[in-house]
Amino acid sequence: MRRIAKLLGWAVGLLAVWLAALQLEVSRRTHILILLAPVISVAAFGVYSVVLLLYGVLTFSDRPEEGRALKQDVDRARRDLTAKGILEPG
Amino acid sequence: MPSKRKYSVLLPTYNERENIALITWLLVETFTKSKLDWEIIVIDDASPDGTQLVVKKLQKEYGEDRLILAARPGKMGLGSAYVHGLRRAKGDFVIIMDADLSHHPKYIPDFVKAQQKADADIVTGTRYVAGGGVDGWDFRRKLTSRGANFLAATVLQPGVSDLTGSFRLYRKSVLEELMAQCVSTGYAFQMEIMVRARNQGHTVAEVPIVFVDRLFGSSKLGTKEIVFFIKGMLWLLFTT
Ligand SMILES: Nc1nc2c(ncn2[C@@H]2O[C@H](COP(=O)(O)OP(=O)(O)O)[C@@H](O)[C@H]2O)c(=O)[nH]1
Ligand SMILES: [Mg+2]
Repeated sequence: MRRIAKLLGWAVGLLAVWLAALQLEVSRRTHILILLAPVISVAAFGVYSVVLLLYGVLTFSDRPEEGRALKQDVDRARRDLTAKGILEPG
Repeated sequence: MPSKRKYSVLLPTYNERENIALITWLLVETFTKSKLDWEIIVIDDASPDGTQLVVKKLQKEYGEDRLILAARPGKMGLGSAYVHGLRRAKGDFVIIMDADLSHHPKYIPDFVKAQQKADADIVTGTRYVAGGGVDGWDFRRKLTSRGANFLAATVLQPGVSDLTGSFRLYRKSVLEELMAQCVSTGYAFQMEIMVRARNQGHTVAEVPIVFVDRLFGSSKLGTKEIVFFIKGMLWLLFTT
């Protein structure tokens, strides 16, 4: 099944649940809460995403020692390549 | 780890005259040390800096059967460069990596081991697991990379941790099959190939890699690439 179909399926399902919930005989307060449920969910998902994203960025591993190791490997390669006349000295 | 299989490395180049020599040297060192059978295919798009002259010198050193030059008449982009290079590949497995030394050849034995262990069709290098990482990235670059992967993971649910990385090993037959289906360009191409691979039930293994930002020259990541990526993602959402 295409990804978009799956996504729309979920959307329609949630919409149906919400519309059904709106028909329930509940207190005014609860009714307003149900009415606002989609907005609250979207906001909650937004906050969750931002937190997860920032966590991901801040825990993105910095590995400067790998940069230094590469420079050493490059020097080794350059010395040999220069000796072989493939790269110019310098 | 020694195996009778042959590994073809595809190296697309555009103005990499220094880097192509350095990476070839490091690749040969790695392959020799780990006793693997190899060939390197350089796909150069008529680089004005003389990359091809250096490749020809390298061919004299390492042999024209080991180091193959697949030249094209002009800059035509990465996606088609892979297709062009793949046609010349004679190996059982194909390794795709950047020629700018962001992807260190020393990780190749890890890819080979991971492939053999899981009998995987694809092994993908990931910056996002323990042992992986980056060097030389600022906050903005990290945010962009994380954001792109987070967005694509949420929308497409591909089940791999690094969708936009391009350091990967493929079983050749699988790569040929996937290449024939892929239409995206830029960073979206890496995403599309992985999404299609998952759809078709190919097995994917991951190995941690450290991505070192290019020492020479500059990267092209800008707003245009980001817009392209998002378009590519939405397109995959609707078509796969
Ligand atoms: N043949 C070919 N190679 C390219 C082209 N564009 C980029 N490359 C090469 O692809 C690799 C990745 O490119 P780079 O600019 O470093 O991309 P970035 O690391 O994602 O910013 C390098 O080896 C480049 O030389 C192209 O149009 N044609
Ligand atoms: Mg690069």
